[in-house]
Amino acid sequence: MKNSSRRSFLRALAIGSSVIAMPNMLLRLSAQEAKGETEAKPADPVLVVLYLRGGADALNILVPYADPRYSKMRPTIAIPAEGENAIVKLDDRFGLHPALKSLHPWYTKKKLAPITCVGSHHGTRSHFDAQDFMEYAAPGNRTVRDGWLNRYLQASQKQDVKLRGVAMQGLLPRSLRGDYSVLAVPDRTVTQDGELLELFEDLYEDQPGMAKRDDDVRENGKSTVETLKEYRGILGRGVGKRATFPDSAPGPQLKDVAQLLRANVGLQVACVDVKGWDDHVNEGGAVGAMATRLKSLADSVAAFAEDIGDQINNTLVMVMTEFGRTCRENGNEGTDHGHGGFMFLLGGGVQGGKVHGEWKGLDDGALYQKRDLPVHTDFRDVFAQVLQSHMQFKAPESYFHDFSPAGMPALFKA
Amino acid sequence: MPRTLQLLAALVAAWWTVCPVESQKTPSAEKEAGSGKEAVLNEDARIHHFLNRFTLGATPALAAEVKKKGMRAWLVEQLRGDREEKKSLRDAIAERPALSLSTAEIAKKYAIRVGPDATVKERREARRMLNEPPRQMLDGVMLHAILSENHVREVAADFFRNHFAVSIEKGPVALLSVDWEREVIRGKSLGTFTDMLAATAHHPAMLFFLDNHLSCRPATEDEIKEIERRSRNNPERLEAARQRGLNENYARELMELHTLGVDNGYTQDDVIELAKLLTGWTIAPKSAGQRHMEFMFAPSFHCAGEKLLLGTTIAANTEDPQQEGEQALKLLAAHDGTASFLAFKLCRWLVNDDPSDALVRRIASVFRNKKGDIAAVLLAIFDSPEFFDAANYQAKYKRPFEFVVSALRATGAELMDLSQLHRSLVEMNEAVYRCADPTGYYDQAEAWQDPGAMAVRWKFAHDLARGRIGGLRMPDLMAGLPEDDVPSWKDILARKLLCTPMSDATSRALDKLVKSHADDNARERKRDLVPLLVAGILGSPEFQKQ
Repeated sequence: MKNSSRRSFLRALAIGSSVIAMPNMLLRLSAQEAKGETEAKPADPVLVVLYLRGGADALNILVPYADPRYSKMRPTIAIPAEGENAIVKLDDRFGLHPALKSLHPWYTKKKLAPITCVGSHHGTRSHFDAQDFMEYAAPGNRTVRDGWLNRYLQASQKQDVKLRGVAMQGLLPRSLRGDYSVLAVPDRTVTQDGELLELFEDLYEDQPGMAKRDDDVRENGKSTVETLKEYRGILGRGVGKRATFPDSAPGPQLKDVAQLLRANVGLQVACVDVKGWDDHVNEGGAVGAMATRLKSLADSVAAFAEDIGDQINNTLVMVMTEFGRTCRENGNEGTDHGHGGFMFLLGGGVQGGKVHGEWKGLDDGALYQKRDLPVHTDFRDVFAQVLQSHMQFKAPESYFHDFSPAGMPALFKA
Repeated sequence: MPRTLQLLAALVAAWWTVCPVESQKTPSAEKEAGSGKEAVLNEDARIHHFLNRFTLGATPALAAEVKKKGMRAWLVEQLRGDREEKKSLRDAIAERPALSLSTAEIAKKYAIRVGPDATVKERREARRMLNEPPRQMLDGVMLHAILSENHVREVAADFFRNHFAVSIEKGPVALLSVDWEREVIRGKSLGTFTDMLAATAHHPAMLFFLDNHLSCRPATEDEIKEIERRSRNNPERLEAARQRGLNENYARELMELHTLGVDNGYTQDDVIELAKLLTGWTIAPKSAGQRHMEFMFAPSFHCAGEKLLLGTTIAANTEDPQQEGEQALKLLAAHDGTASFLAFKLCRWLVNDDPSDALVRRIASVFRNKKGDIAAVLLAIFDSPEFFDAANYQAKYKRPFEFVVSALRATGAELMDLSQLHRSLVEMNEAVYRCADPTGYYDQAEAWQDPGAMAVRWKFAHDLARGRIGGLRMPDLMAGLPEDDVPSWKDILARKLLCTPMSDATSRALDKLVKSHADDNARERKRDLVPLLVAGILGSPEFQKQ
């Protein structure tokens, strides 16, 4: 482009321009790798964010089985504390949904830290607003237009690392939008259909004698093809024995992230969207619609953690959602939009093997507006610790816009 | 060589270098009747160029119609915007009853109030009903863009929808958007700019989107004391009274985005003065009964006194203070800066991303002389020598909206359920009526040309060609293709979809594809070739441009 500052200005303003890819960076990477330059570097911390879109039902994920009110509030969808399909006990208050049992060994190994009653103090129950506020890490503030992870990538910019951020879907999540170039991995049908990719490669071939103004479109198409081919190349590279990933989301996406990590291309932040958690109807309990999704989620995360081997020590997987759901089930064996939610932190130096966050039970008085889980931990307190303790990044004062981390008990080992 | 000949030679040379299409003909130097300018594109290319810019996508049928009637005569007729719509569009609109209702009727029918004791089912039904008007409105935008006979009005509507952008993500704008789209955007886009500006300023969707409905003179000390006395048990109310005051949001955007353009001769003082002039322009509350959610002037919100806007004194109108705002809008609509800014944006929309100062100056003077007559301005752009300049042919990149709409116009897919189409635009980052910024979506290529976005277009082209976009029914793509002459398919499909000759690279790429399939005699493989050819043509560089 003629004028890069104008371009980034436009980019900053237009929400329509947030899918950003760096076409040549992968090429440069391959060259760098061939020279073995990446070998000697100490391992950089890696953050993988799984965002459960739709407001996942925290209460059936991290189940307060010991509270007698739990099963009363959920006559058809409560998870039993004992017997068949019972929760997987974590301590004397909480258990995991049985579909999450593949994560339990990581809890035992003290590598998994669930957090209860975490979320935003902003009262919105709109998916759109709640996700926005969380991903920009600025509740109620509609002027912040750079995602919290993009702000990290900008502020901690390093000259020697090329591919630092990826989103495993064509549309960049808001957390990764901003001035720092992040690769949005395009749809898998285009990356995986060899004939189609070849067709577009031919279509966007150079035209001898073509005037400059035609070059922009053609250049754009060419670099798209290059990016897709390089990306395919990295994914097709043999990197030894792999773990078994589920075929359903987020299995294939996490398998690709793991491959990028194993191929040592300098990845530091990866985001994966997991859709479909807006369980208003037929949510199911120990089995059912949500249980199927949870199993896929847990098995994918467990496979990922196994697949990357020792790299799990410098890699943190965060599972988050925009809000939890109503404590009481509704008339359709589902739940409606709530307030407080949950998070999982797995890997890195996390203080695992215990449930973090304050818990005051399910009495009406302890709930938010007598219906939802309250928020005792501001999500930004978690983000701040992740940046500081895991990413080794000292966030500047203004990082969270009108918010100073409250200093909740440490989530990470000193 | 005489100057004109020199120029012509240069343009011919330019045409040869930029358009190495296979069916190159020597461009004819014919004279377009009435326009008095020398053409350098051949007639088919001129018609293609014209349809690319003055419609949302060329089709062979449209090209034939324009060829028969003559471009200028066709445009003049289109600028009236009164052509009868075809049955398919009328039927599709009739299936969406909210589209013909007023805001009051919509509120009555779709905004069902549920009590605190409502069941979950009742709540869900209420939510579903509330989502109906904006859903139908979005369908209406797409249906008109694809099917309307008033092609030029749809281009103008697309322009003004972005020029006066509002987002249905913000509160009641969703409900108000039906009336906004029908009465303001589609209703006024070929009238005068003065009328259109006034319509936007009086519309509750705009007043709400840019917060003017809250803008109010600050409370006096006495008033605060009074409120303090009355609301001893209600500290929130007192706080609200203390905080209330001018909201500059609308006043600023009114000058920056809607009329003068950024930094175009106004100051922060002008913003404050304009905000004061517009205090009291708000939305009628529930207590207004029938008029609820309509525009209302609230005299008690209004800042009294004389104001100074852009060097012009606007005297206090104590009789009818709303007139102060009306006067300000007229002043802005008639301002030279507005003529320049609108001329610039329209030339950028219709001619090229970087229109010359000379063109913008000429169009701005038409805007002034014709008192903001939008149709006259569009005609002047068509008549300008720059419009058919060969350098502008295929020189603009299609926005995602233009890409999707033109692909659907070209393929003639039947539109039953549009929800997946709307989702495709979300993936391409141009969800209709969901631009959070009041700037609207950009139409310059640089805002859209990112590699990730290109791959999403390819996926869309491929999904569409394979009939994988839910809610759409693709016509039989094999129809009209001679079964025994596979090599001819690509040209037949390109004529239909592209309306312009293919580039060499496109032609070669498709030949290669055809060869790899034609060698295989299996019928399946041949049939599979057709969607790939269609995907290739819709995903080609030519189809991304206009």
